[in-house]
Amino acid sequence: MKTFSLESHLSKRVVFLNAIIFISLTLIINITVSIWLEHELDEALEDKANVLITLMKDTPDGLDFDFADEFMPEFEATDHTEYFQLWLDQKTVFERSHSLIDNDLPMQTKMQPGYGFNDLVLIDGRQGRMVQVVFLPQIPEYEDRTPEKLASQKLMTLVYAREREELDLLINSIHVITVIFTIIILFLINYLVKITVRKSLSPLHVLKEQITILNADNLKERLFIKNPPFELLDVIEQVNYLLERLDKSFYREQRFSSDVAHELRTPISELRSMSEVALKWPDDVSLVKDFYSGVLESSIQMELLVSNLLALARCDVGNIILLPEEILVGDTINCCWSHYQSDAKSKNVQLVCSGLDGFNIMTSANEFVQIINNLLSNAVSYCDDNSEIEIILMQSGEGASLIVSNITSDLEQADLSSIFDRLWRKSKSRSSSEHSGLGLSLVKAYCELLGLKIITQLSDEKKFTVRIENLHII
Amino acid sequence: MKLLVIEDSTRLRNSLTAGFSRMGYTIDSSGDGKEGLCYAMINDYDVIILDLMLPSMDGLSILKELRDKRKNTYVLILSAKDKIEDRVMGLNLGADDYLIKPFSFDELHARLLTLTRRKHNVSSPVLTFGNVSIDTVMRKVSINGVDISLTPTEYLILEYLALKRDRVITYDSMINHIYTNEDATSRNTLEAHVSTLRKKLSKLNIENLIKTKRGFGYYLESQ
Repeated sequence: MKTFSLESHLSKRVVFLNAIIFISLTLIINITVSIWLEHELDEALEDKANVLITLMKDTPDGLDFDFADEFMPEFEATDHTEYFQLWLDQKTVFERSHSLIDNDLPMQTKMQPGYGFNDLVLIDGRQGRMVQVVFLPQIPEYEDRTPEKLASQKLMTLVYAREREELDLLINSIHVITVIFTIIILFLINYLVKITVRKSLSPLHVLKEQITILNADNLKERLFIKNPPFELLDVIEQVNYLLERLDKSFYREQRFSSDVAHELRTPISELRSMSEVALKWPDDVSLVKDFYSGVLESSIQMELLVSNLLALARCDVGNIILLPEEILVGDTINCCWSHYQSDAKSKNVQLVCSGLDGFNIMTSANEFVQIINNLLSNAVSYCDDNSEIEIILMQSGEGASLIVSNITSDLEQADLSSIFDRLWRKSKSRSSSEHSGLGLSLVKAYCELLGLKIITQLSDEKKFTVRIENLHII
Repeated sequence: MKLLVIEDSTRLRNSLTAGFSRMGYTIDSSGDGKEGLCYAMINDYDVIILDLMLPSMDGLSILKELRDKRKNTYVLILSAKDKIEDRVMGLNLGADDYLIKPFSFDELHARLLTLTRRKHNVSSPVLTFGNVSIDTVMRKVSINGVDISLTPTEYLILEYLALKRDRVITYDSMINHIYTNEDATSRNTLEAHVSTLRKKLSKLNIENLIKTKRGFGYYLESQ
């Protein structure tokens, strides 16, 4: 599976998007500034060209260029020298600045009236920019502006040029500064984004650390984040809920393994100990004879345990074929009760039944008998001496409910949550060899197989009730 | 050696009692935690074999109670609980050994002997007094390499005196150690057993091995 770092992925994405936005903005600003500066230069060229144009006059005496070097020394200076050249009719050089000496400025001959701008290399080798204007020289006196004069006026061309290296230097400086600034900003964005993402994802890191150290030994630990983000609240709650379930499952599994071990180890120890002792004194007839019955009891105990575990396993995998048939509930209970009658008598326990007559149900007989047997066996074993076991069959809704109850002083309300757990016993010593704690687990498993609902209750008077619902009445 | 078995499995308890009593040990047993604790507090046992899961009071509580009351009887825990934490907890609470069920009877016996030797500060399983050798594993006594036939009670008397050599063992202490709670034993019975033992030893020319401190008890002197 290809994995990736969420933090790195997020950081890269955010930095990349920020970089694109920032670089685009910088580029736009840069280009705008450059264009604006060029435009400013062109406007300056245009203004200067207009000044020169105003000096050109068409008088009755002819064309006059009223230019004085002293007022415009830039056309003679050695530094920041500027240039202009005037043509008459785009052919004949009319005037040129002293700075040009005998050189010409480039002129486009096919140019329409108006301003045209272009870059050029000045005669001193510097980069420059020029403006070319085609114009009609002005006629100073109004009365001289006769239609004939206006019709005979010849077009003049002015090319004005000046250096543009300062502007280029400024634009390049702006470019360099912008690039440096952009790089710095990008590094800063990268750093800040990483810090921000890391800080924002810190609850995830905390969760990761807490989850990483989780193992079977510390399932009681719960995920905890101080001021958790909204997005993680449900995750934390759900994981904690699962941890709680896992912890309970682990505990049950451990207890089940431990209980199975105990339930098996004790009879095995008995068998081994009795066998070894009997082998040491084989001639001791009374000892060996006693041990024979002991071995039989231990074997039966183990057989019962293994049979019950196998029955539960078969229930778990659904490997039981149900054969529904009509059952007389009263007869079935009476038949089962006969097995426990002598034990009940020794404890002076009475069975009180009501509502059993007249009810026939349709269910799988074998499993139903197992349910009744286990319920009666538990009731007789764990009920108080000189008490009653009550069995009631009553109609509820479309079905019937079978209620078995008895007084059990030892049982606590908290025990009800574990009462169907496999191998659960109230007595921690697990001393009784007649029960292994699988009876009610089997009852529940069989009920689930038969589609019956089972509920347990314990009243304040310590009356323990098992209620089996949804019995199908015929 | 006098043992107390506190084990709720009747069949296991009975088999241990039968086995060890036939080996000549004095054994009291109980299937209930509180009753077992009561036995342990009243009597002086060499070793207590203690199950952990017991009715009325669990084994660890019994052990804690014993140690809290400064009862230093050696305790061997015999339990189906096989987890390391169970064993560590048992040993940390003051148990001297821990054996997991199912177990070998011979291993349990060997561990009991080890604890007894440790209790009496003896390193070898064979105790020797001049020509007399007492094999505590095989539970036999030999003189000059020749085994002599002793009843379990006679062997117990000799072994107990040998383990506590050079110390006077009072009559009550010896009665308590040799006989179980159920045996109604008087000092006369003990004296009769000691007398028989002395006769058996004197037949093999071992005179005056068991000495009497009048009014106090018996002792066995290192030679």
